[in-house]
Amino acid sequence: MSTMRIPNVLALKAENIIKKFGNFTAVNNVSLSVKKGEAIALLGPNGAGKTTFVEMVEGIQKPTAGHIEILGLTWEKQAKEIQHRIGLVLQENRFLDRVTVFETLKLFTSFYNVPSAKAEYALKKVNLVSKRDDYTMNLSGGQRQRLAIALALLNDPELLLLDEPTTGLDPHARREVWNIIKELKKSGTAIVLTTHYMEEAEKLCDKIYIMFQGKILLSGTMKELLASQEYQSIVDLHFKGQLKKSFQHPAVIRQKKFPGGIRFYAKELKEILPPLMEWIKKNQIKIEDLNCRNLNLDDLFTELTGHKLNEQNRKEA
Amino acid sequence: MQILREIYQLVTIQIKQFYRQPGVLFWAFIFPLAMAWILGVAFTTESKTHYKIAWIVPESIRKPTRLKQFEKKLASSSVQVVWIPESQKEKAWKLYRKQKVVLVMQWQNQKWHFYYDTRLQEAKLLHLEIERKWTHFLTGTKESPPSSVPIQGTRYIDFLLPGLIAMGIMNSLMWGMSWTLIELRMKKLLRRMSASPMSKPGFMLSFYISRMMITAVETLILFVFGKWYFNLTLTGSWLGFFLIFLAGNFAFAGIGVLVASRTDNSRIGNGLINAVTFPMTVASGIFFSYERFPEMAQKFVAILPLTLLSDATRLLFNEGGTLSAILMPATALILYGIIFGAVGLKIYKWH
Ligand SMILES: Nc1ncnc2c1ncn2[C@@H]1O[C@H](COP(=O)(O)OP(=O)(O)O)[C@@H](O)[C@H]1O
Ligand SMILES: [Mg+2]
Repeated sequence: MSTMRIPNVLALKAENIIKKFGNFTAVNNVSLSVKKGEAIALLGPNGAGKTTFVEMVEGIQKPTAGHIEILGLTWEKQAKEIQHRIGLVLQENRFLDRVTVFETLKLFTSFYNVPSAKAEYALKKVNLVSKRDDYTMNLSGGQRQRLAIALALLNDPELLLLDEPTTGLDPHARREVWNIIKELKKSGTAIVLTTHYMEEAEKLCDKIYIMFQGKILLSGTMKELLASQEYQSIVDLHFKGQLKKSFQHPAVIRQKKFPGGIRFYAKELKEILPPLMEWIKKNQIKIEDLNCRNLNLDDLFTELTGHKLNEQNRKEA
Repeated sequence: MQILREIYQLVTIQIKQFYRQPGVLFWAFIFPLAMAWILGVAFTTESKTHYKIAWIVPESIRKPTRLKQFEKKLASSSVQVVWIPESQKEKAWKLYRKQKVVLVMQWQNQKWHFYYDTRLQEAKLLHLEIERKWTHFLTGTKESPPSSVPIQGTRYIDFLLPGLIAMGIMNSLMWGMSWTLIELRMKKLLRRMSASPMSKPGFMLSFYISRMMITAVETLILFVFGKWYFNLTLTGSWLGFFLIFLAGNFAFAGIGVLVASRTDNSRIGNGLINAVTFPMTVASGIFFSYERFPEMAQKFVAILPLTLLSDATRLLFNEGGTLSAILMPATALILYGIIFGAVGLKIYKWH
């Protein structure tokens, strides 16, 4: 293993990555880079190509085209070294049923060639010490996920890849996982996280890549993403009856009818709300419901794709 | 050495996983024992056979002391007598027809008359035996009983036990190793492991080692039981036995790797393992000799890995097989392991 670490090398550099399965393109020309200590999210619904992309970074799948560099290393030339220096949590994590949490960790310390004491260290990091001697088959979903993260921490990875680390977890378990990830981020680990929860991307990551049908549609910090749109606010007005006159005002950038109401897009809520109330009063509109909020990632995604971020998931459930 | 540590960890985990499974004690250790015991006892008719015969005697004498003494003598060699007075003669034929007695003897004019179906070998032998005993009884001479030389290899258990040892090795590798490999892929744990810097040769080697430890225990149990209960032991080379044990394990490890190389579906895995083990269990002469098969089939059966293993084991147990006699089948088994294993590893799906 080389001990020379070039300071300005990127944790991950992916250029024009394409992955095809037969005629189907699962990942379509994705480029992104992650600096050391930076956390990025791949945000997208099921089937967007997140797992396929991440698994190419992890060396599990081979890209059809494109170039991947991890910590300045490539899979073709330095596979073992990459494996020693990255950590990963796969989308699906199952363990040997009748093997304890600690034994599972200890086994992996031998793969990573780190002292067995690292197993105890990782247990503490993910707050699983109390389950140390339980069989993995007796763990809850959240505990299992934490064990998967613990396995990824044994080698103190410089780049950590987390594929939907909180999918299927209850809110409490999710928060626990978030806290662990936050800690890791603080300690300077570069993180690539995939998710279809906007909150997760927003809370944990510096930069977000919105992915859909194999492509990156938009990327940037939360601020940049929102600023990429002309409007930052949305008002949904639900009403009864017919409109005689439409609402026209310079604050309204766009409006869109939907069954039982209208959506207004505006720069700022404080600019649109007063004239809107006025207009409602003047036209004697029977309000059923009025929803106003600042633009969020879900809205942004829907605007970009016409789909909801986690609609497939709802179907699944 | 990292690889040694990895192998040690993997072996430890596999052994733990093995003995922590419920029912493992039964299937791995008790079941083969029970099979050996039940089949061994049922088909190894070593115990003395008891015969019943009928005596028709004139009413007038009524169990004379002389005949009574002879009856005692017969009883000591497991022949039991039913006394029937002449007036109830019919009863004797009735017993004979119902096969309650093997033959009927009538005491007439101070002489024995024998009645039985002369086509029956068993009755004929018994007749001669009783005649002989009667002569000795009359003359008071001592019988010189033939002392039988027990020759190992003639009883069914002698045939069965080495076969069971061979079958145990096959099943242990195929169900223990091959199945565990498929399960690892099914659970995506294999994918997680192979995404780590784990050494793949070390991984495979650990399975061979851990499984061999388990089959060694299984074999030892059958071995000790055979010695203790049936006084059955190796008459041939111990080194040869060790060699064929290693080679047998190796062959089935290779086959196991091939079987487990692609599938992540438990039903397909099950089917594949059955497709390998079942025909061999039936054809390879574990429970009955394959000598009765057509000659062409015999030639084919003889080179199946399980046949090679069980025939060699039998040779060592019953026919004093030497190390050099074992070299051929051992080499063949190792070749099996290398060929199947190499193909298996070549197409092995790690992700
Ligand atoms: N091995 C494969 N063969 C064929 N299609 C695949 C394969 N793996 C993934 N796909 C397809 O590629 C698309 C992206 O999948 P995936 O990367 O798992 O998406 P995500 O992780 O964002 O849910 C999906 O439509 C999926 O069906
Ligand atoms: Mg996925």
